Formats: sequence, structure tokens, C-alpha cells
Amino acid sequence: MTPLEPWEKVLIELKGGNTSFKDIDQVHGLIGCINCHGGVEPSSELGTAHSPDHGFTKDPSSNPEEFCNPCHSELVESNKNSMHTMAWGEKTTIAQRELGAGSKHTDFDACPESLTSGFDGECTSCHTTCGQCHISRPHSAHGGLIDNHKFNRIPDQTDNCMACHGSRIGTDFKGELTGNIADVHYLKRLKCFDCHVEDFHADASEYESRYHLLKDEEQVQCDYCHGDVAEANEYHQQHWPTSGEGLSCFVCHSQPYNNCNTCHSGGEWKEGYGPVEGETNVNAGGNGYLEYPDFKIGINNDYELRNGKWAVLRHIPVAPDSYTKWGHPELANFDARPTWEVSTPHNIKLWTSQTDTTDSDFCSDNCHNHGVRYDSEGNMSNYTEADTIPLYLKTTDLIDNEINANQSVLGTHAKVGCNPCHPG
Amino acid sequence: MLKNFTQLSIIPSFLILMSACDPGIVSTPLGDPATCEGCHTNKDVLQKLVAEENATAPSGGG
Repeated sequence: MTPLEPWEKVLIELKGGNTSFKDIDQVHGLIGCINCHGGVEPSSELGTAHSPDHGFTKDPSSNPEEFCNPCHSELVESNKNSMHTMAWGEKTTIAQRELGAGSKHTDFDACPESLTSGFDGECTSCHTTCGQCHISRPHSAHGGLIDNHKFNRIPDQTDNCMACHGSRIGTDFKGELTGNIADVHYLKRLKCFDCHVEDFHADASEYESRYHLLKDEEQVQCDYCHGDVAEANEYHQQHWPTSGEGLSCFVCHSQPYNNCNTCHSGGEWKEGYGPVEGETNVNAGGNGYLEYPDFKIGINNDYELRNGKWAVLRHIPVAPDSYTKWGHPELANFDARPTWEVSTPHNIKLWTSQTDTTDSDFCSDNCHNHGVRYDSEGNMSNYTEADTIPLYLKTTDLIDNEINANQSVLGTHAKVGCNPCHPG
Repeated sequence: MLKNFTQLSIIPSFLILMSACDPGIVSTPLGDPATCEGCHTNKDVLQKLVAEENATAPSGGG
């Protein structure tokens, strides 16, 4: 996302009959600027007007108890422990990779101080304040008023949601990845909140990730809208996902999606990312970030949370030394979680390279038969490992230091490789 | 008579009270660059100030 110009970030543009901020936001406009932002008014000097010595703060909502109460007291109270504020999911992953697989988000504080202080200083800086969703772009997108400082009840999909969830979700959803088209739901003008109906302000302190927060009736599944096609064709009859069985819908209906390299610690999320040795397929993204397009199928071990035995996996941004810049050179239990995690790419379309069998000999060619083509005599031809369909995550796709971590998501064939069955 | 007087006196009292309690009273006339709104609703003033501050103006709030 291209940052706004400095003056543009703070401009309240009065259009039409608007003569004051009070006309733009008739409720919050009554409060008065300095009653939230502090500073000095009037002042003929910029530094004095914005002086921290006079209590100036650019983001009053970083202290919601003082500035958002009493009008929003219920939200302020619950939001203190919400997913967006506390980043419980990230705390879970760090705790497990440091303390062991059985750890939970609530164990995070038992991690070494280098991790907890690094997390507080960096990760929590964009997880997030009221204003970064309801007034301006988030800090991670360099801030800037969205709608003339109007307090928007529903955050803006582009300037808020995708400002943080942009390099993967936004890129996928809008079809910006090379060779992709936009998600069919985007083309039909669905918004984030049409599917994400969970309570974003809810106290999530008991839940280790956002998937755990959602109750069944709140977690929108594909079949809520598309359940009537469960028997619509042979593919669906064979593969329809249930708990621990079948294929996640994304296995057939996702396009290649963006992946990440190592974690963006040490300010890299501000300063730009670099490729990591051993990773390939790196493109320059439209907004300056790097793209790692890929598509990998593997085992879904979280079948209590998501249907399907098989799912698509996304490489997530972590490496054993991700937090070196925080003074923590190596995660003690890096193998506790896979680095290729079950994902739900937001780039759905009906006919993908998996579902489109045009010019195939068999309906299963795209996903089965290891990519082997048969000649007219019915014999396999030119079978080498290089000919295998690259859809499945295999040991050979992994960097050496993440092979152990990903054993639980590798299918049997991916683990053993070709030679046991096809020597030579 | 007393009742009518009481009702009439309530109105100006209420208006005075509203004016005194309205926190928006801190907003001063537009176009005055010494006020918050005076600067932040004026693109030219903002651009000039940012240029003078070498693009170090504070970013746009929460």
C-alpha cells in the first residue's frame, strides 16, 4: 500500500456544505480536538501545538480507557483482550515454538524476556488501536486519515483490513498475483464482513487462535452458501469435506497463493523484506513486497476446526532464527509446529488448474497418477520425479531446517519419495 | 404568571448552559492557522508546514 503524503495523512477536507469537522462527524465533532489529542490550541508554532509536553498524542485510542470511555465502555473492556489487540494467535505460535507443542497462548509470558519484550515492542505495535480500524490507516501502513477523521463504524476494506492483511489476503483476493484473477467473491462485490461475522471486539483470552474463538454458528463455512452442490458432480461426491475426511474446498478451487519467507522482525515490515536462501519463485509485488506464489496440498491436522483431511498449505513467516534481532538467536522448539500451515486462500474460482481437465486423458490426471502420462499403448512414459505433479508438499520442497517441523503435514507419498516404489 | 416566567427563563438558561458545556467550543474559526481545524482543513497550509518541517509532520492519528 503506497503511503499517503505527510500533509495528506492529516488533512480534513471540507467539501460541499461542510464548514467544520462537526459537520463531518456530528457526534465526535462535539468533543473538540485537544480534548482527545492534547497539545495547545491556539498556537502559532507547529511544535508547540503538537508538543508531548502538553499531552499531545496522535493516537488517543491507544489509551481507550481514557478517551473512548464512557460512551464505548463495554467495547473498551472486551477489546482489551480481543484477537486484534492481543494477537493471541501469534502468542500461541511463539510459545509453542519456544516452550513446546503443548503450550498455549497463556504460556507466552513464560517465554524468555527477549521474546516477550520483542513482541511487545514490535508485534503489538500494529495489533491494534480503535483508531487504526475506525479512523485512519493502521500504523503498519504508515497511518493517515481515511475519511476526513470521521469515525467509521465499519472499517474500510481497503484502507483498514487489507492495509494489514494485504500481502497475502489482499493480493489473493484482488487477483494481483501474477497469473491469477480476482476471487469470485470479490468480483461479486462481497466484503470482508460478509463472511467474517465474528465479534472482532470479543474477549478472546480463552482462545489460542481466531479459529478457536469462532463458534460453529459464527464460523462461516463454504457450505453455508454452497451446501446444495455437495452431490452436484462426481468430484464433489468423492471429495466433499467433512471432519477428517475429503478435501478442503480450497484444494480444488484455489489458485496459487502468496507465501512468506521468514518472520518480519527487526523492523523489516517497515523497511522491506529480503529473499531467504533456499526459497524460489520470488517476484516483486505491486506494492514493494516480495511474492512467493505457490500451491501445496498437505494434511489437515486441525480437522476439529476445519473440514477435510487434505488442505492447502501456506508457508508462514518463521525460521529458527526469526527473532535474532530481538536478542533471541534460536527458537528452542522450532519443530513444534509446521512452517507450512493449513490455509484458506482468498482467491477462489470455479475452474482452476485442478478442476479444469480440458485436454486431459483422464478426469483424475491433474491431481492423481503422479502426473504420469500414458502412451497409446497404456504404458507410463518418461516417469521421473521431476514429472510429478507439483501440487503436493514434498520433503524436497522443504528447507533443511524445517523438514522435521513439517512431518505432520506431509502425505505418505511425499514422505517416502519416489524411489521405494519406482527405483531408479 | 409565575409559571410562565419560569418556563421562559428556562430557555435562555438552557442555551447558556449548552454553550458553556459544549466541548466543541474549543474549535475556533476556520482559516485561522493557529487552530487545529484552521490548519487541518487547509491543504495549502498543511503542505507549507510540512515543507517547512522537512516532511516531519506528525502522522494522522489513530
